[in-house]
Amino acid sequence: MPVGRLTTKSKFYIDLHYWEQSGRNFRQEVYDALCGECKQMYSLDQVQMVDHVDPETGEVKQLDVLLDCASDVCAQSADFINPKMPLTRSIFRALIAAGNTPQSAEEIFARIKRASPNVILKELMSPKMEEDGVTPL
Amino acid sequence: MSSASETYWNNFSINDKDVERVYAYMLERGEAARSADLARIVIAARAKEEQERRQRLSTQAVLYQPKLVLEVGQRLIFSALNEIEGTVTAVRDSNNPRLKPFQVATVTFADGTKREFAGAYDLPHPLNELKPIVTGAADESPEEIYARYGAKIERLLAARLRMDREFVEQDGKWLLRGLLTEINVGFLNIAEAAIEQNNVGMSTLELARVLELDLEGAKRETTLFSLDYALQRDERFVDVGPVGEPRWYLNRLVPAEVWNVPRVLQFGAAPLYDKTLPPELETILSEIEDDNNDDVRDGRAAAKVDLVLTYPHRRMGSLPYTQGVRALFPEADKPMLVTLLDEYGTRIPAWVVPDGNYIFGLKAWYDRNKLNPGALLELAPRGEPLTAEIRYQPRREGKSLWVKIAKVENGHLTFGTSPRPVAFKYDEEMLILPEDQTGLDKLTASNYGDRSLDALLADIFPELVKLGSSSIHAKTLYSAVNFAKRVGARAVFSALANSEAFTTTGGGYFVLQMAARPA
Repeated sequence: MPVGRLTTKSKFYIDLHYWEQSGRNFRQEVYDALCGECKQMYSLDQVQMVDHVDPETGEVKQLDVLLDCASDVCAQSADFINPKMPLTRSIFRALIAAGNTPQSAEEIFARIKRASPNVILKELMSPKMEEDGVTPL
Repeated sequence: MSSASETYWNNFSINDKDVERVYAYMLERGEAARSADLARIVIAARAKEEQERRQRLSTQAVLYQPKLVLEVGQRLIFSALNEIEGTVTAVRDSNNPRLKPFQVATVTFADGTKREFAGAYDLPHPLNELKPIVTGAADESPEEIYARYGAKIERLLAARLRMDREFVEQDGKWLLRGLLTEINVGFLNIAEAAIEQNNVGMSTLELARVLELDLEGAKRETTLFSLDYALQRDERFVDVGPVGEPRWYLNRLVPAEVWNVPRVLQFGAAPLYDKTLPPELETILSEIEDDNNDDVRDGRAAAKVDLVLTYPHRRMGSLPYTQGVRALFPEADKPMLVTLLDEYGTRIPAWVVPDGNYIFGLKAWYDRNKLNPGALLELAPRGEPLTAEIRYQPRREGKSLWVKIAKVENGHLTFGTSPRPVAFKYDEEMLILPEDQTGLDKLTASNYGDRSLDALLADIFPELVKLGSSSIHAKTLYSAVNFAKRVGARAVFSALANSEAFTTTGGGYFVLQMAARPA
């Protein structure tokens, strides 16, 4: 297996520290993406960490309440990641839908069902995604 | 074998962990490994994994599911985390206004790490659907599993490894690409020159010695693998060795007749008959080594072979690759370069062409010794690898003999007799000399020989009768029809025995029934 080289199995996540340092508001970004159901439940100024159950392992992690709702509720909606979005936006939404748990290009491909793992990997390593704080683990 | 085990191995597929194990094994081994060895690694690891899983399950640890009500001190096995085991060390209430309250249990693992997991969580979750069944992967020993499923696992593993650039394959063996010995174009140029100079197929080991590659100790197998791999991928070189024993030659020196079966050596269509031959014809057939398109290797020991030369082989300078001839050489699954040695010690390079069922390369030898269809030939084994002896029985030419000759008139095969010198011992019934080679070549190129065997025999039979006898021997008809198309003796004898157009008069002789003659 290749060592020191990113592959379609390498994991990526959104670096929230980068957002802070850049003076950008990640919570605002997540709130803008929320579906109607979650927007009814929560407001932007509701800052709270909640218990989030991993949908594969059952592990409980602390997650921002907006991210928890986005990943568990909004992510089930077809509109959350729709094919009309630019690919980079779809990839970003896929990371939010995973609750910002590190995802590989192959896992993102399985979620968004667009392009291919190799194309998605290229996008993950692109300057655009770097600007959005997407970084390899 | 238990049904759980059958289910497991019948539904088996290679996963990433299997590939990682194989990679680690090959990295540690440092040299090429056979597919069988890699399959055994995978089977042993899976069986061990299952055994360990069973041991853990049997020691009162419970398979973790979020719906379980958890208690401090409870031991859990996490199937979604490679079956690791942990112990609940604390339990608290959940904090998520969106969800019905559930437990959050702190689990401590053997390495001291702590992680939290949901309990009393009865919302839909894939782990809540799990049924903790034992897979059966370890019901039998790895040897028993390999005996039954080894071939399938090898196939699946090979298919998976072929998709991964880290693995290279050569003749059923695998090596990590990073471990290949570098064989640059300079080495290959030297190999090309060596083969051309020797004009024989050279084994990989022989070439490695010419190239002075490192063959010491552990490096030897990797070096040979790497050289084979490089030669295979350079179109200058072709493997002309027996099955499993590469011998390298130059593509540009291989005669065209080895890659493309010449028309005169292409078998004609022969109908299949259910009935065996009458005993008389079986006896006659057993006296000649049949040139038969269905011949396969039958495991017989190498022994002297007596052949009668037929026209197609005389014309092209070839021999039929009969069962007896096959036994003289190792098994070939592609063109194989061998040597035939005549009584003067002349070494004749010859090509076994399994697909065409012939050995090519004897034209000059036939011409030099003035051989013709009907000549008696003998092949014999020789201790040297890929070598056999070839002999004919010389005859003082003396007075010319009146022999049958084959010629072409108005696009049809016909026969006559003529005095000719004959310098070799021959089969009386099968001796027919080609009279008009240009005409015969045009006949071969035409569709004359594409007619049914019955039609050809009916056309040829009266032409032979014109020579003075109404009854014709089966061997004569066999030799004659081969001037039109290459056909085996069994096919000819079967056609004679089963067609209403011909009637036997005993002793292998037939007469033509004019009324029943095919159209």
